[in-house]
Amino acid sequence: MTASATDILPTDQSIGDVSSQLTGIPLHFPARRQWWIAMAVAIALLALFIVSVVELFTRGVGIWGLNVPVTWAFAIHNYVWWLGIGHAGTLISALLLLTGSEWRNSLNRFAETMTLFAVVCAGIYPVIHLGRPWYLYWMFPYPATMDVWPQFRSPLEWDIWAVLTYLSVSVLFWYTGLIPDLANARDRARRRGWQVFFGILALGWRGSTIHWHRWSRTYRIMAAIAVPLVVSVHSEISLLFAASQLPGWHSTLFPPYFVLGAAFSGFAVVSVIAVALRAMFDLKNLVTRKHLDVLGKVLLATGLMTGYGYVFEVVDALYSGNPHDLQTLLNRTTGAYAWLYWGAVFFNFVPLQLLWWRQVRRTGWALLLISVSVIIGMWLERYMILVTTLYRDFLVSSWSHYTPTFWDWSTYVGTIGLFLVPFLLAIRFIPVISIFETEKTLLDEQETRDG
Amino acid sequence: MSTIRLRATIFGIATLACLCLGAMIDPHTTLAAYLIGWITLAAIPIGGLLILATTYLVRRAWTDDLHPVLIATTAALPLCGALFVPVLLGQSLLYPVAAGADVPAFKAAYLAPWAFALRTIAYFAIWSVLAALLARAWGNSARMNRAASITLIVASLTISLAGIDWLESLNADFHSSIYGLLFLSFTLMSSLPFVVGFGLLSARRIRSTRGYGGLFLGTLLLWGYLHAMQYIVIWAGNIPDEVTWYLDRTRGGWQYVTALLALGQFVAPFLLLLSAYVRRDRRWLFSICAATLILRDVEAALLAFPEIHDLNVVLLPFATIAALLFIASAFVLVVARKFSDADGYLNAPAARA
Repeated sequence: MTASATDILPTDQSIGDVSSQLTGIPLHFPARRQWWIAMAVAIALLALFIVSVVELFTRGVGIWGLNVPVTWAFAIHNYVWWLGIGHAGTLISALLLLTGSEWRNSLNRFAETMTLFAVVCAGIYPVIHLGRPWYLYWMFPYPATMDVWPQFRSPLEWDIWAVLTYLSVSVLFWYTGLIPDLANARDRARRRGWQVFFGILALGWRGSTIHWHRWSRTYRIMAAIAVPLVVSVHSEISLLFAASQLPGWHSTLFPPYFVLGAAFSGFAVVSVIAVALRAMFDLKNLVTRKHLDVLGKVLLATGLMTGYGYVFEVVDALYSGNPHDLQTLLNRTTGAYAWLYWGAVFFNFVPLQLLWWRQVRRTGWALLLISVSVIIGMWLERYMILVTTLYRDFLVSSWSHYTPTFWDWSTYVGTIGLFLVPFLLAIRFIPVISIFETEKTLLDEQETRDG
Repeated sequence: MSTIRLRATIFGIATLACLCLGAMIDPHTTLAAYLIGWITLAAIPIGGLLILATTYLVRRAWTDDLHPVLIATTAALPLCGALFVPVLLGQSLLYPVAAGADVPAFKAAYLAPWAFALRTIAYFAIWSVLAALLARAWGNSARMNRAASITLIVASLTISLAGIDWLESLNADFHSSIYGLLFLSFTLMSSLPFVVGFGLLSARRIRSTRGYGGLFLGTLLLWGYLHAMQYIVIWAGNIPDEVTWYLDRTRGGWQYVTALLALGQFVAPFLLLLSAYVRRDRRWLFSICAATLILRDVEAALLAFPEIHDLNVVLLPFATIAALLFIASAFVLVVARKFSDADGYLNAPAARA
């Protein structure tokens, strides 16, 4: 009953055409106007981010809407949101490589690229929210000459180790995958500048059998390291909350719930980028409707798994009978921030159900809109988890509310510029889709067709 | 096969007699042992439902390879439900809420004996219908997708709730939101080695074992991850109602059982399965599957026994073995024909050979 192998790429295109089409993107950039418009918006957002950070460093975290008891809000919220988005790139690339899923080959390059810059956006938040960022180095793993030791039992300390490790492995994994394509671009470049640029980055790759053998082993080993790393890093992020004793945060389900939520939001961003690049560079022959179909299925599956977390958070609160847990549940569903809870439920799960229909999954704009809904929903979810636990403290005398200020919003919106500027530079200067892996998929399909 | 059925009948009658004798000596201990034996073996068809549905959605060689075994395994679900009747009848001997423990209002109503029994009946009715739905869908791609999607959604939720009912509620004060997922992974860890081990018995069906080794490694990591996360969150929170669950499992001799499970069920197979040779070798993989199935009973015991007090330690191991053999005999007896079909299928020349 095994389904026959269905072609994901049209087999009536030649390997040479694919190679020319993809190396042609950085060498003879086809969408200059759209790219410059996008870049102008991205630079404006980045400028807003810089202004916000200068203001923050000048006046301190008091410019944000933090108060007692809501001492932790937008900074950690957006940190988790960005890091979650970043995880999908590694998952798509590494997990699907290990499971031999060929459809990843048209998506993994930009998904990995997205990961790198999303992790940078996430990583910037712990730095700027310190209040005294010049003491950042206290958290680094260096010999403590001042006898002021970090609290090694705190997830806040684990955090910096986790993110730095994740960033390092993601960069290495991304770069390792890129080497054969950089050599391809080097060989096709006609101008001396491009030849030198790609020549240096290609590290002397000649495509010999021994090169391929070593590269293949390295790539797979790195993938095998990257997958558990994604799970452990986002589980550690969940411990920032779950390791506390606060109702609504102290939940044993949080680690898998956060990992799945991260994959969910990340796949939504990958879908948005896939649809956008497909239209921008006319890549319909390489990012096909079948790719969109598979992305839609994965989004639906991860969404339903995230929904499991919602259900069992409620089940456990009811089952425990703990008055604090029950009160937090009531605050979430009917309190001042109920709109966050129900907003997260709506945006995450209601439009998502359209993905049960094949036609919807294969329609670019529909997938794009549903993915945007998921991105909003996951943003609301993290906001909800943070604020609804904190704003009603154990002592009624400490109850308060939280409202983000202009600077909260400007910093957050600015990080979108921080993401877009390097991402747009990357799609301008490196092959946006893995050339050799796409060619391999195409070649395999053509050989199957020709018997 | 008739010889096997005859043996199963003899074993079944003999072990039932032993259990009846045990019940006359100490019903409390005998029922606790029966619960463990039942959980250990019932987890195989319950987890099989999830694996069968996944093989329908992810169509690879395993869809064909494991299908007959999985169909035969999941056909045992109604029998599993019937075999739980002794526990339902003796709830007050094992479950604190049924025995009248003072618990919050919702928990008291939710775990009331009649609600507990009704839910258990509903679980098995739902799972049996899903198993039938999956069996009928075979051969029709669209129906397979539909049946598998429905099964995965409904079964994931109901299996998690069942784990809370049958195991978590043995401790009236403990609660852990990951517990349902832990039980779900428990069923996968029982079912996967069973169906892979059964498939390996036929050289024709599972020809390349490498993928199954990787699959088993992935399941093992999931199981270990979920346990580790529960432990870390509870350790960090250090809340009395939660940490006592671990304290009960790290003293009074249970620390050795915990160590055995951690080393035997996680560390050793994990290190072995890192080797490509072990993943490829049929005998290694079969040995790991067999060892895992034996250790399932140890995990079931570790999850349940520390919560059940005043057990007769002399009677307990004998009653547990008798319960395991009785339930296994009943399985063989009732679903022998299904396994016979599976066996015939396994030994027939493979369609792709």
